[in-house]
Amino acid sequence: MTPPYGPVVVVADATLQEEGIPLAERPRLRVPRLTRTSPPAADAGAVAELAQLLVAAENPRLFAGRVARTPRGLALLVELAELLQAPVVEGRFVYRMNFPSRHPLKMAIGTSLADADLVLSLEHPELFHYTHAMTPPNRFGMRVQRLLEPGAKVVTISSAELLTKSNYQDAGRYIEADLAIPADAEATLPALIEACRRLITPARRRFFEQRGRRVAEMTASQYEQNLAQAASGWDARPVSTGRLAAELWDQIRHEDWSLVSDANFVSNWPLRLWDFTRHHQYIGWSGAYGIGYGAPAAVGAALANRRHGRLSVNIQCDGDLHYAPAVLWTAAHHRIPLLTVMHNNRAYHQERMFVTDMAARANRDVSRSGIGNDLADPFIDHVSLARAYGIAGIGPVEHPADLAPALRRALDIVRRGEPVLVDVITQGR
Amino acid sequence: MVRRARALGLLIAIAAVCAGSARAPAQAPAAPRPVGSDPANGRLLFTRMTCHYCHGTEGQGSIVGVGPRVARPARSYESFARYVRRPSGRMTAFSETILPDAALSDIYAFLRSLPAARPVDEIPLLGRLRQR
Repeated sequence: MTPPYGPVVVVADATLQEEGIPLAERPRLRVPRLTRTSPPAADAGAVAELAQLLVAAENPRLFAGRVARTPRGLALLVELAELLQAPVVEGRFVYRMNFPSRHPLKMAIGTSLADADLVLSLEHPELFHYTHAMTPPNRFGMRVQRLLEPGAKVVTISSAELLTKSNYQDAGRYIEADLAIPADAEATLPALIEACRRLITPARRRFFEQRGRRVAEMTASQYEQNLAQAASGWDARPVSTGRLAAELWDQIRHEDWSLVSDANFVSNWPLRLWDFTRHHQYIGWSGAYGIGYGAPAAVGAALANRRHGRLSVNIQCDGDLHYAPAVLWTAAHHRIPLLTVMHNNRAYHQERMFVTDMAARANRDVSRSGIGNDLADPFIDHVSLARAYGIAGIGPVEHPADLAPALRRALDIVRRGEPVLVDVITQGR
Repeated sequence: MVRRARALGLLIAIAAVCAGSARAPAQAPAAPRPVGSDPANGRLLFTRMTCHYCHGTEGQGSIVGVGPRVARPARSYESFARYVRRPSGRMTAFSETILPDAALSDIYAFLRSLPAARPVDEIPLLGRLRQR
């Protein structure tokens, strides 16, 4: 696995698979030694230019996408941010566990980049959507407006630029960057940190310290806003996704836990409330809106976590589960400890929202957006489904007060080394 | 059995009311219902018109940048209606064809009728979240 990471297909044709190897040739055969490839880092000139921009910037933003390939990537991003006292921002799709969620320099998910005088985008495939406002799909029109102040600079470090000749691309929209560095961000960070360190004068350091204090005040305030919003739907039925995340955190916080599912479909509540500090604690956004990825990815990550004794937690969307539900059997068969908590909004909710958008755009009845998208009449019995595949099922939990006891029962089962599913009837998002 | 008898009684009462309505003289049209007078209907419409998809069934909000809290709006009905018809953000625009004024005003009444959000400090679990 060498950056840029991407889907790989290995094809062995039928003849190669089925033809026997003559006995006489077998002694000659050997498996070639694995060549470890050094990830591509930026050239020294580009690093020096970027360091000058970063140290001179008054209000920079480090915009993190697929930065931290490894735990070292997380540590390096923390080092850069703390050196500059520069805030780190992530978009609403959090691609990797890049930065501690409650670090004083970690701004709330989706914080605007508009007031930055320098945006450093690190492996972000959707930068354009955060530097520009576009007509939303629920209106007619194709207006695009740059959000950044005139004179604000944009620098990108992205290994995705090395993919532009492959069949499959994840390039995003074209960015008018002031400096585009086609390189792996994690591999580039050590040189960038050192280049910045050399340029920082005592006066700049004092300025950075003041900036850091301002950012810390803002991020503390943003966390309080998240708590207030979680409180807002606290007693709602169906269970709010904010409460689901809070109750779950309260029971796992003292364990060595790992969130093996994406958080976008539950309004990113775990990332807004929990204290993520380590690289293995979040699997990251899948990178697409495809459904059916969640459950198999969770089981795979839980299998990887098993030998470390980690508690794997999967917040599982109901629509997603039904593309490959037999993976529950895989978890049972291989005795993979995994807590699956259903985000059961009884719909393909993303699609419902989209159909509402399209209906309203065409001035048509939005109340029919559930057709083909609601998973109702009858509701799916996930507890029986789990049991059919050989894993324990608990629920359905319809009342928020019943959630904590259900999670406690489920965690007892996971601690015995088994998978378990808790069905929770939830708000749409 | 008692429950069944009560249900039967309720049905009879509803039937009597309906029968009474059916016999009301046609030449005396009912006075128009005051705008925004029916929060219960507003709750139904809030779901039927899919508002809860983004804002939650209690208007509590959830999605960053897309589905903010809308319960107990501070703005006037006129301001609220203007925004729903011509939103400036990511929200779907609801025309009067899709969502008539009377229905929108009931939704507004529903949102105004919702209880205030609980303070964070009243929820011990959220207080524990502050601790690291």
